[in-house]
Amino acid sequence: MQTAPAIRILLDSPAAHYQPGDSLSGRFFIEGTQMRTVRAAELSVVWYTAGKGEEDFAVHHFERHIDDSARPLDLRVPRRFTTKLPPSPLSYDGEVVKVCWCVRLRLFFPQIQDTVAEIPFRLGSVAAGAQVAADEPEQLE
Amino acid sequence: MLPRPRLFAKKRGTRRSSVPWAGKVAEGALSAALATLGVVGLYWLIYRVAYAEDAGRWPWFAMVIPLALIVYGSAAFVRLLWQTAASTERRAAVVQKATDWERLGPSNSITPALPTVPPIDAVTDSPGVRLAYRLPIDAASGWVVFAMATVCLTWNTLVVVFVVEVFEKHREGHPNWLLTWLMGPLVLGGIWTVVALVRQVLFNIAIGTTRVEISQHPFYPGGTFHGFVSQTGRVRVRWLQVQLVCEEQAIYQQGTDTRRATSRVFRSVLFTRRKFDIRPPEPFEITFDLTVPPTVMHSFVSQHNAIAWTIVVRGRMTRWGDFERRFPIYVYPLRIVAPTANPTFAVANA
Amino acid sequence: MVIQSPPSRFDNPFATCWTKPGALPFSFAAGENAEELLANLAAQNWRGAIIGPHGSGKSTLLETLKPLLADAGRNVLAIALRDRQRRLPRPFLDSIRALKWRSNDLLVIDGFEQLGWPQRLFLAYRSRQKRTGLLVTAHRPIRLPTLVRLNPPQSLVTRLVADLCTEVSTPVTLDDISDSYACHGSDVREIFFDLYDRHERKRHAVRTRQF
Repeated sequence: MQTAPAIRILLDSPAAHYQPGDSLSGRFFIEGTQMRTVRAAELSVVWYTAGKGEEDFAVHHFERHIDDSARPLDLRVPRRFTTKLPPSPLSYDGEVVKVCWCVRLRLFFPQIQDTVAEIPFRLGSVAAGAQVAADEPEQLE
Repeated sequence: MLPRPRLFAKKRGTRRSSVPWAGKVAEGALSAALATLGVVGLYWLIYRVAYAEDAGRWPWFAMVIPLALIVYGSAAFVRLLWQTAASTERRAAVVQKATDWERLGPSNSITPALPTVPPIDAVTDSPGVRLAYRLPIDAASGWVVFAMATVCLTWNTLVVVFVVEVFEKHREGHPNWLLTWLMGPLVLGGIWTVVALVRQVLFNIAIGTTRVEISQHPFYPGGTFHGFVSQTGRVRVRWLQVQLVCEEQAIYQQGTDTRRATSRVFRSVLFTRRKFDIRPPEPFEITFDLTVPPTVMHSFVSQHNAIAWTIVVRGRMTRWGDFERRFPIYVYPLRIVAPTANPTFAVANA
Repeated sequence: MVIQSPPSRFDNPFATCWTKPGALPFSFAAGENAEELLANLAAQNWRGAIIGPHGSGKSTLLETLKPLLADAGRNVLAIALRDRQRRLPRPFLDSIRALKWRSNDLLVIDGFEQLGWPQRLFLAYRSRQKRTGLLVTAHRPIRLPTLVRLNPPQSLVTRLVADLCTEVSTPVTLDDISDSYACHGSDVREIFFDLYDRHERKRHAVRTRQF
C-alpha cells in the first residue's frame, strides 16, 4: 500500500495577501525523487465559510490535469497556475462567520484515497470583526 | 491485492463479503440496462412496426416509452458516474459555470457582478422625497400584526362555537358543568388575544410610520453619506436613537437541531434625542451623516451565513414602551465603480 | 494597518466544521465500543433506540455507526429529521415505499420522536412485522429496545476538547470547560458553541493587547 505523498503548493507572493482584481499565481508539485502515479490532479481556488454555521463554499477557479499515455502527469515537475481574483467575497475573520480563501489541490492516486492539500490566502484588507458590547438604553433615560 | 468481486453480498459476522463499490456497479448496470432496453425497443418499434403497412399512428405515440427509458437510464448512468468520479470542487465548478450562464441573459439589474453580495434593486426601486432613495422596512413588524390577527381570529372563532354549544345545553336544561368550567380559561385566552391585538394595532397607530431615506446606495467602506428619518405618530418620546449596525448571522442545522447564531460586530450611533413629543400632522424629522469605516466587511449572503448591515431606528415611548424598526442597507466592497448616482465616489476611494 | 494571517477554519477548533456529526468521531465511554453496540443491536434483531438529551451525541454516534452497519451487511436507509419535522419528507417516503422490507434492510431515523404518531406507529409496526431493522434516536425511551443511553460526563467532554485541539491550539482552559459543563450539563453541542465563543473572545483580547 502506498503512503500519502508530501504535496506542496507555493504562492508567488509569500505574504499571501491580495486585492480584488489581482492575479494570484503559484505552483504545485510533489516532493521526492521517485515518480508517483497520479490519475488526476485538481487545483481549485475556493472560498468557504467557517464559524458557528454550516460551511458554505464556492469555486472561483478550477483546473484539472489528467494522466494519459501521451502526456504523463509527473508532478515532481512544478506546475504553474494563475487566476484573476474576483471583487468579492473578501476575506473576513468575524465572530461567528469567517470568510476564508484558499488554493486547494486534490490528487487522485490509483489505490489510495484522494489526498487534499490547501494553502490559505487573504483577499482584501477587511479588519477582524469582534462583538460589540450590548448598548444600555437606560443610560438615555 | 484487490478483493475478488462478488455478485451478491453476504454477511459474515460483522463483515460484508462484497466490495464497497458493488452497489454502485449494480446501480450503473441497471441504468445501462434500462437505456439499452429503450434503444432495442425504439429500434423494434421503428423498423418492425411503424414501417409496416397498415401500422397506423399508435407506434409513433408508443415511442414515448422507449424514449423515456433511454433518457432515464442515460441520465441515471451519467449522474452515477459524475457522483463517483467527480470531486466536490469539480462538481461545484460546473454548478458555478451553469449559474454564470444563466446570468448572461438579459437583466434589468444594475448590480455589478459581485459574487455573494446581495443586489440593491429593492432599494433603488423606491425613490425618496428628501433624499435619493427610500429604504424598505424589514418586513418582520408587519408580519407580527398579521400573525396576531390570525391567531386571534382562529382562537376566538373556536371559542364562540364552544360557548354557543355550552349555552345551548344550559338553555335546554341539560347543563354540562365540566364544559362550563373549562370554558373559563378558553374565554380568558380569547380575551387576551384580542387585547394583545388591539394593543399592537394601537401601538402601530401611535408610533406611526418610520421613513428612512439615504443619499446614495449601495454604501462603500470609508464613505460618508446623508440620511433622513421621518417619524409620525402621537406619542411622548423618552428617547429616540438611530444606529448603523452590522451583524453576522450563521445558521447551524445538524442533528435534530436548527439554530441561528447572531453577533453584532459594529454599531455606530448616528442620532440621539431625549424627551420630546410627536404630534400630528407634523412628523418628527431629522437629517444626519453616516460614515462607514474603511476596513469593515461588505454585505455578504451565502446559503447558511450572512453579514447584514442595517439602519436601526429605536426608541422608548411613554405608555407604549420600546420599539425598534430595522431598515436593511447594503455595503459593497471598495474598488467597484458605483452603478448609480455619484460615480466619482468610487474613484475617490479606490 | 496590521494585517493578520488569513482567516481559515483552523482559527477555531470549535467551529462547526470540526464538531458536526461525522466530523468528530463518537467518543465511547470507558468499556464501550462500536462493535459491542453493533452486537447488541444484532441481538435485538437490529431494532433499537439511542436515547439521550439534546446535544449528547446521538447524531454523532449514528454517523459513526452507519459505515459499520453497511460493513455488517445492512442495507441502510437513513434520514435526519430537522426541528419540528413531524412528517417524513416525500423522497424518503418514496424510498420506503420502494423498499422490499427484507431482513437485511435497516431504517435509520435521527429524531424519531419528532414524527407524528401515525408514521411512528407505521414504521414500528411494519418493521417488526417484516423483521426489518429500525435504529432511531430519541430524547426519551420509546417503544423500541434501548440500545444505549447517552449522558456524557465532564471527563468525556474534556477528552473531546483535547481531541479537537490536537491540530489547533486554543486559549480555552480546563476551568472554561468546567464552567461550560456546569451551565449546559451533558449538552455537548451547546458546550462546543459556548467554547467557540470563549475561544473567540480570548483570541480577540490577545490580538487587541498585541496591536
